[in-house]
Order: sequence, then structure tokens, then C-alpha cells
Amino acid sequence: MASGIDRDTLNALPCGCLILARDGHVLFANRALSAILAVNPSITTVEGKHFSEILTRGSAIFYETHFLPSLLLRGSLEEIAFDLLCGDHVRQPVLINAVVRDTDILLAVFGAKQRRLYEAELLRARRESEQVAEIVRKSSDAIIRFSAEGLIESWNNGAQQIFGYQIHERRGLRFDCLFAPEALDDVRAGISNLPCGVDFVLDTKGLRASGERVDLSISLTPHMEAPGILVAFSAIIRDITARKLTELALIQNEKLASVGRLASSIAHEINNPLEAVTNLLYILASNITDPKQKELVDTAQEELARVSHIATHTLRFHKQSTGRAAVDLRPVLETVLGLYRARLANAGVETIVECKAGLTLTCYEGELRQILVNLVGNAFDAMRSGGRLRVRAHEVYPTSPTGRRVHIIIGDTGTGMSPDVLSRLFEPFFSTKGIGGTGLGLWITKDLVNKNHGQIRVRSSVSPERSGTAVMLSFNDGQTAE
Amino acid sequence: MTPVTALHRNNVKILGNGAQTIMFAHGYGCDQSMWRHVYPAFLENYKVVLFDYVGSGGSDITAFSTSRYSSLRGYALDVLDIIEELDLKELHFVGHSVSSMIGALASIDSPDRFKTLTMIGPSPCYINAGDYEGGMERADVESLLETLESNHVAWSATMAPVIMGNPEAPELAGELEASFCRMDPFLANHFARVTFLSDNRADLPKVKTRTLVLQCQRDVIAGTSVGKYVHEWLPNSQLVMMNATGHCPHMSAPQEVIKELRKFLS
Repeated sequence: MASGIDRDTLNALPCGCLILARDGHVLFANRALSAILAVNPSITTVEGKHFSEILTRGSAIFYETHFLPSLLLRGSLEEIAFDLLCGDHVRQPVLINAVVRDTDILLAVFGAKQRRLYEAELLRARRESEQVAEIVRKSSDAIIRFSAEGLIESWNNGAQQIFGYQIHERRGLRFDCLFAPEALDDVRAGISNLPCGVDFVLDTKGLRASGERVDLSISLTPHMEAPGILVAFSAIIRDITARKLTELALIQNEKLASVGRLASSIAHEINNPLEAVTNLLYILASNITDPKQKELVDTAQEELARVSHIATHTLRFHKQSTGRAAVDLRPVLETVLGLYRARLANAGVETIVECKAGLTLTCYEGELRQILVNLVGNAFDAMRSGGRLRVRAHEVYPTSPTGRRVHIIIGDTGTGMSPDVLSRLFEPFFSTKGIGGTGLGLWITKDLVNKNHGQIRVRSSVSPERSGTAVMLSFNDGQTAE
Repeated sequence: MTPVTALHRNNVKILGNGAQTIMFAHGYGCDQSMWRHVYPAFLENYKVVLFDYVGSGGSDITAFSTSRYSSLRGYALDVLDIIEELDLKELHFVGHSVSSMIGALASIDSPDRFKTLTMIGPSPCYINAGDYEGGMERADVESLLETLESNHVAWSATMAPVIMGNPEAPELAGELEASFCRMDPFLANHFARVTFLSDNRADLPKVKTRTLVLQCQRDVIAGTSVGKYVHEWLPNSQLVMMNATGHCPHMSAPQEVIKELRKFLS
């Protein structure tokens, strides 16, 4: 027992007090310590135990590896957190001050339950805010904080991606530096309303580090403090280049559709006069005896038949079939090729159609036509200097339970496509046709094929002797539920 | 730009001037200053090498790399780097706690550099595994990490350089005392995981170097059964049960450590 210490005084101390031998054995524990440990000092005594025995395991390891070596070196330590193991196996957080003397170690022990709860709460709050910060940091949208004066204060990875600057290159600069000069008036107008506490959303043009313009959607939020003072504002900015392109394509598509509708109504309107002229020519033909005149009328009748054919079969193209139906493939293939017949003939392309009479496929007829027109059009574009176009349709009965399938193969001996092009074939806006192509043909085609329970596969070769492309459409015919 | 040397990175101190060299390697939670009561006894007859692991004491913490130091092997590489740079041969390596295994790994890698190994309170695996009693459960390590976190601030304050006022401080190593057991909190957490979650039991039979195992009484970190296990699996070792208690006999009972070490080395 440590000498020269008045036990009563130690017992009266308003904090836990422990005296340890240098090897860690408890020589003395005062009443306040027993209270902290929730043990009755007259029944249980901690004296004689090793100090690490009244610590949780983590605290014991910490005591042996950190605390004791450091204490022996320094002579004293303050406010070190430990968890004591109470009589009832509950852990009691404490703070310990320690001092080393010649033969023993004195510890002052303070309960720290409330403080530790508070610390745990702070830690939890910090982790939560770190999680939110992580989301902000990693967002692909730019999230930027501006001072009330409009100076850039901080931004995230998304902002760096969109604008191409590191934050340190832009911090402290005005928002102006992020927008195209022509867009600045609108942005300024929106920002000037922020002090009223009004959010602001705008599609505008941004300016990258490279000087490039970029389509942006910006949403500005004011941060207000009482009494109604703007202290900062934040911007969430999205790069909408892709969306703009899609919008353009949609507009283009709508234009085409309206042309289609117009054509359809024209076709309808000219049908009646056409019929009248056909009848009139027929009457005229039966009244003519002069062979020379008869030949002219015959020719007129033939040409008129072509006009009638075009009107009924092509101008009504866009007319959407209302439901899936069994479509006779051969006439469809022939009308589609009919559209290109003159052009194919002029380019010196030999056309072969192989399709059993009466072969049907259950699908949306209009969409099937659109698919075929696209693919035949592509084949034609690849064979501007002649070649052979082969369109083959046949049915397949695989052993699998999926049932009957119909394959349509469109093969050309054109220029073919490199693996590079092939790999991007179905990307929207990808085109090899320069100004003439939208880059949407095959993208839409694939979509339509899928919608009609089919798959599309493309093989292509650019090797000089045997270049060309074969597109295979494989449709699951029919009975599948919509 | 000067290349980063191991001598700088690991805050290496070279003292004494004997023909043979002793290298003292500190354990988890402290730094080279924990040897202050032991190494002076060897200065007369040995060259003494002291160092800090990266993240401890006066090491260059910018040299820390999570992947290099993801296992004890990375720390062993640091030991080998120092040996290489100082071109040490016939080295007597004295490791405390986790450094026992770090020294073992280094000696397996370059056996010809090591003459002896001394392990103070070694453990090849702190966690209980099947029949093996390491003495800890995983939850104990988690509990340690919690305690480390609770002491984040207080321990950082402890890091502040100490103005010398300690009457027992020997003035032998100059600035040595400036940073008792300094440890970067993040790296302390990392080193704790590497130390207490490693399992190097399979490496023990590979150690060819003559080894002394010093085992204390009532060591709660590495108990007597663990010390015996190490002795049994090391091909060439002797086990000494000391009178000292606890995990740090070189601090609590330096004279006994010095005596045993001298006996082993002579």
C-alpha cells in the first residue's frame, strides 16, 4: 500500500482514484471508483486485480500498447479515454489522468458517459455529413457554391468534368467565366432575382476550358439567412448535350412523320381523280381503232397504273397498322424493293428475292416495312457502283420451345464495314454517311426489330475480293404475349 | 531531388561503435524511444541501430502507402531497406511484440544478414483460431479501434513535443525524446489492423536464425501459451520465462531484459 496517503481523504475525493503498482496491479481503489464501477466495495474489491482486468479488451490492449509505454516515458498523461468493465459487465466510459511516481502510478478517473454520448453523436453527425459530401463530390452533375457576390467558392468532380478546370483555377472568380458571353444576360437576370429567395432554372450555353460551348441546364438555389439576406447560392448544372441531340432528332422525326401524314392524305385525295382518269382511258381505249393511237393510250394506261401503284403502296407507308397481324412477306418485300427498283437498276445492282409464296410473319406491318426500307436503303448506299442485293426470307423450326421463327436476310456485295464501325453500328447519332445521315436509321431499326420480337445480327467484311454486309433479322413468330 | 532513403523515412539513429550491430525494433503503439532504458547498456560493445516504422515516432508519414503496408511483409521490407542501406551483416535483431514477427519475416527473406533474433512478447497470431489460442477475438480488435478513435484528440495532444524536464531522461540520444510514442491517428488504426489481424503462424518454421523468446508473466497481449507456441514452432529457439510482468518488460524491467539479452548474445 502506498505510504503517506490518508485513505479517508482519498475516499472522500469527488473523482475515482486508483493506485497501481508499476506492474499494473491495483494497490488501492477509492469509493468513488467503486461507484463508477457499480460495485459494492464491502463485497467486491478490485484491489489485487490487474488494472487490465477491469478494462474492456480494447481498452486493455490500448493500455498495454499505447498508454503504459507512453506514461512510463513521459511521467504523466491527461484526459485519456478508456472503457471500464463494470461489475454488471456494462462498460463505463471514463477519462483518466495519470502520473508515475517512484514505485507506483496514480490514476484519477472521471466518469465520461455524457461526454462520450455527445462525442458519439458528433461522430455520427460527421459520418452522415461525410456521406452527403461524398454524394455531392461524386455527382456527375456540377454542384457549385457561390458567394452572395457570385464568386465561385467550391465545386465538385462533376463541375471539373463539365468545365474542364481544377477548382483552384476558378475559385474566387465570378460566375461569368463559366458561361458563353451570349448567354450571360439571361444568367445574370436569374441571379439578380436570387436575393428575393426565388429559385431559378434555365437552359443555357456554358463555356469549357477548351473554349468549346456546351449545352447546360442550370438550377440556382439561394441560401438565405435571417432577416432575408442572401449569404450564398448554389448551382446544380447538368450537361444536356445528349438531350439536345435527342430533341433535335425528335423534331426531325416529327417533321418526317408530318410529311408522311401529308403524303397519305394526298394519296387519298388523288385516288378519286386517278380512278376517274383510269376509267376514262379505258373507255377511250375501247373506242380507238388506229393502232398508233392505241399504242399511245396503252402506254398512258401503263404509266397511270404505275402512278396508282405508287400512290396506294408507297405514299400510304407511314400509315400505322393498328395491331400485330399475319403479314404476307412476299408482297411486302416486293413493294419495298419496288421503291428502290429504278435506283438499283441505274446503279447496276442485280436484285434477287427469295421468298416462298404465302410465307407470313406476325408483326406490325408498317414497322416491318420501315425496317426493310432502312436496311435496303443502306445496302443500296453501299453499292453505288453495282453489285448484288439478295433478300431472302424463310422459316425455321428450331427444337427449342420458342417455336417457329422467321429469318429475313438482306445481303449486299457493297463496300462492307470495318470492325470499328460495326461495333458502333447501333449507337444513336453514329453515321458514316456524312451530312446525309442522321445516324438514327439502325438505332430505330433495332428498336423496331426488338419490338416485333426479333433480333438483328450483322456480319460484314471489307476484304477486297469478298466485301459486303449481311443483316439477319430473326423474328420469333407470333404467339408470344404482347 | 534527393531520393527518399530508408534512413530518413524510418528516422534511423545509429549510436555506439562496436564491431557487431544490434537493431532494436519497437512494437505497435510506441516508437524507438521505448528502448531508452535498454540500448545504453549495449553502446560500449555494439553499434546500436534504432528506427521508427512509417506512421510512428519521427518517421516520414508521407512515405505511407496503404498497399505497401497492408501486411507485416511491407514493414519487414522497411527493415531490409535499412539493413541494405547501412550494409549491415551478422545483425542481432531485437523486436518487441509485432516487431518479433516483422524481424522473423525479414530474416526469412535474407537469412545471411541476421545472426540472431530476439523476440520480446511475440505473437504470430493474436486472434483465436480453432485450437490455437491467440488470446483475442476480432471484436477485441474492433474495441481497440474504438478506443483509438475516442483518444483521437487527446492522443494528438500527447504527440506534442515534450520539453525536457524528466529527471530520469538520459541525454544520450538528443532529440529522441521529442516524440514519445507519437502516432498518426489514421496510421495507428491501420497499423492496429495489420498487427492484430495478421496470421504468420505458417512463417515460424521457415525462420533459420537462432532466436531468443523472452516471455513475461501475465502478458495480456501475448500470453505465456503463445510464447511457448512460438518457441515450439521456431526451428532454433530458446524460451526464457522472465520475472517481469506485462507486455513491455524493456520498460518496466529493463535490467532483466538487458541481462537476458547479454547472456544470449555472448
